[in-house]
Amino acid sequence: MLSFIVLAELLDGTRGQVRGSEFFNAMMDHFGNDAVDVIEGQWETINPIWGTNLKAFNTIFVTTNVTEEAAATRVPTGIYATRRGYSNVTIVQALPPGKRGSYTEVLVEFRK
Amino acid sequence: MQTDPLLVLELRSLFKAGATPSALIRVIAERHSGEPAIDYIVRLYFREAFLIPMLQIGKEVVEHIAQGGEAAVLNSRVVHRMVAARSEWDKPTALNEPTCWLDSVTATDESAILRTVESQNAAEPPAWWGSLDDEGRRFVSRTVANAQSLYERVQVLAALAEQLQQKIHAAEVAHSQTE
Repeated sequence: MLSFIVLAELLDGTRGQVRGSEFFNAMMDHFGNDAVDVIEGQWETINPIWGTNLKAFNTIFVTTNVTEEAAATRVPTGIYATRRGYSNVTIVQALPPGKRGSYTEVLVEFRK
Repeated sequence: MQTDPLLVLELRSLFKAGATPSALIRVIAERHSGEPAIDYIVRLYFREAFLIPMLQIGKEVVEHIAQGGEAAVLNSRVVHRMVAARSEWDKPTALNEPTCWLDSVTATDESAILRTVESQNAAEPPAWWGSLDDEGRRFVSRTVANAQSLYERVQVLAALAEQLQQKIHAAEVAHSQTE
């Protein structure tokens, strides 16, 4: 298992010059699609400044009525994963249950 | 950077004795005082000691905890995962090893729970299963699996709370005997 975090913005508002998608693609190019079975997203509120995916995920339910699986493909990590062919989505956990738009913990798997 | 094997063992022992994640973070921060990337070091130790792939805390949270601040959210999110991975980091070494609060609880990886629920629903579907479309079936399976996972979390936290209460009681008894 390989775990990594891409920080888009620091507390003082500084943003890096390398985009999240560039980090993601560089990692995938390095290991190759064949070596990666599952891309797992663990989106939580433990650290408020690491909430880009969770915030985007919750926002989708405010304006649309899509499934959680579809919403997961529309956040940054989901967009990167589906572009690489990992479009089979399983929402393993979405807590609190049924709190669409106010989830605090989401565990999602993207498979080929 | 490499982890200190002795500190890894100490963290495991402390957890088995009832230390919460914030207490463990305080120990790591104390031993690595002054390190600029202390959050990285904390993640490294949690990965090594308890197989937590990515403890989602940054430097400011570690510093807050190191200064005595609370982080209750770690109890509800991380402890269950530490318990779920126990068979990997706490292999039995002696037959007469003393029991600990972890012995009374079980925790299961969230993906494994979902797979089990899905296979049960496929093998022995409820009578109303056929009236649901795929989306509805996924929703029901996930909700049932998440409820089971949350139930496990409650059991784990209940056992941990009781362990902490026992420690408080023992400390009070010891204190009263010295007065």
